Amino acid sequence: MVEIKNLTKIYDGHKAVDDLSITVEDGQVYGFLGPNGAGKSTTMNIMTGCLAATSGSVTINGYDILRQPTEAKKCIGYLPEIPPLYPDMTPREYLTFVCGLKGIKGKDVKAQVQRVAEMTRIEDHLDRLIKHLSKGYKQRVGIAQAILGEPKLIILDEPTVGLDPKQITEIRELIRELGGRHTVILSSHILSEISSVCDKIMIIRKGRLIACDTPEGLGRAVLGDTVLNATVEIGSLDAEKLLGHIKGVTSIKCEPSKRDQGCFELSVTYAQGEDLRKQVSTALIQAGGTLLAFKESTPSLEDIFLELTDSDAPEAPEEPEQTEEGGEQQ
Amino acid sequence: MSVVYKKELKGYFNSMTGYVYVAFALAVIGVYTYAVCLRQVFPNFEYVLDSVRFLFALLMPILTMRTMSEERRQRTDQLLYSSPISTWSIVFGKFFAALTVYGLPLLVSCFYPVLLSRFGSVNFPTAYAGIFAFLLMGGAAIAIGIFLSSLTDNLMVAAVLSFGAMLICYIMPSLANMVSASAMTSAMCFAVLAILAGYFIYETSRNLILGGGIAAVVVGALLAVFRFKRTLLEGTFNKAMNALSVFSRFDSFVYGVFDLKAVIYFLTIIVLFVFFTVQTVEKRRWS
Repeated sequence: MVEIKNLTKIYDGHKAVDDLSITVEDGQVYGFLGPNGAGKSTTMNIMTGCLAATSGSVTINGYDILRQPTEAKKCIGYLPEIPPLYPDMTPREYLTFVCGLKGIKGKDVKAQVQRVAEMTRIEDHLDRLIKHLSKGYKQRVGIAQAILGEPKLIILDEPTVGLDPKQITEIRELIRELGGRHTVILSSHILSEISSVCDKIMIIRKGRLIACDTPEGLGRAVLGDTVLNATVEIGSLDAEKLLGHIKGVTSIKCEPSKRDQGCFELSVTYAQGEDLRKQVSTALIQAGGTLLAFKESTPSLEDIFLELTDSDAPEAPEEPEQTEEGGEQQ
Repeated sequence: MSVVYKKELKGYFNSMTGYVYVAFALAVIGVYTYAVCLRQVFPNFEYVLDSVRFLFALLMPILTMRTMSEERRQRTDQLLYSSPISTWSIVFGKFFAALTVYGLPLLVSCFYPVLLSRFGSVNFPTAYAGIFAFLLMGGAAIAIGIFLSSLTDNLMVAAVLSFGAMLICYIMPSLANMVSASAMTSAMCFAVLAILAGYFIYETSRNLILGGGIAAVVVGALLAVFRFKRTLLEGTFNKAMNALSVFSRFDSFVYGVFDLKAVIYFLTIIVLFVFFTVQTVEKRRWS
């Protein structure tokens, strides 16, 4: 569906997107995840033809966005970071205008407007001026505009920003619904959002793609270990001697607890997929200890995200958004 | 193009802009028709147009200041540029919408010569040729205004820019008369312009060789012409200045002459400035 090859965008010597290559397959929901200023909006603007790349190419459904812009743009519905709305129009006028831009004609216009209004639940507000709508409704009109005309590819830049929790849930459901028939790419810096709706997650940092996988796959690939945390009440503990012989344990940390006197905080790490809870607890109890807390945890997407976006260059602070759309409006 | 045209036209009349402009323009034409044709009993409607020319020049920014800058400010330009329509059709759609609003009072004024003919003999061909030329002249001013509006996302800056530009276009013939016609003056003025252009090219491209090179080549050529063929430069700068005086092209229509050169001049300005606007928009995508 989308083929991005060696995409680079340089603003005043700053690389907003750096040699990015992505292939997006049909009918899936892709999540673009990255901290602020990672190049998400820039990439999306280039994909939709709003911005030209310094080098590299973007092909949408087989059409090059620069050489065959009309054909390529016909396949795209785009919601930019700030919904492109005309405050002096009503949503109905606005959506009719967008139908015109997308080349939808005649009887289809009314049907299409009605359909997207129902999908985004704005049908009761179709005849109020956009400037009088709340932020949540404005955002929905923006989404309605993007899905108008059933484009093959729907690109949503932070679609749930500014919505209340109930609206967020509704929009997520809508995106999941769209997923079957359309290819959807959405961006966010909120993890839970991406992990709950996306089939595949692309993590980008400083304009580079650093991971692209399913949510589960990312968990397996990046931090392949399970951590077992325990609080033990025991006189003295030589954890290395007591637990070191258990097969599968990769590392053991043990330190006196700060909260509970006479207790130790223990964390045992072993490969994901193994289950050493029994062995560890038996060994601790046999040594005369009392288990006060015992919890196994696999890395959350949050950990992966932080690990991927921070670990490589901890000294460099994240730069502010360098896209045209960034800065000024924030 | 028709989609953008319709939306823009609606936009003019959804806000006050369209009504204010049409009302003011009709009032101005009406007052001057009364003063020139009824009080001073001239049967020539083109004299009315001649008198209102300056006021219309000042009104132009009302029509054009929002066109491109508002889209940028509201971020709606992203909707247009990600849609399957070309930048040309966007700019021409906006141009024709502004021209339509500009033309509405003129359409009403088409009725005035007929009305005047009730009281005496009116020269219809010169009156209607005048209205036609007035429309084209406005088109040229609109194209310039839209271009200036595309340079900024600030409404006030766009308004002041086009206001200044209209004023300069209007007083250009007088300015040109103030500048000496000697070859020396021409050479110096062109040299200053060349250096400014070179600096502008350097600022936008960050390429010292390109900017400096272009300035140096032009200045060199000027020196050579000044040294060997001085007569070529006499009065040239005044002519160049006069090329920018959009509103004075209407003069011949006031004298009852259908000036084909002026018509072609107006059309050229329209196409040229629409082209500049498209280039400005396209360029922003590359920066």
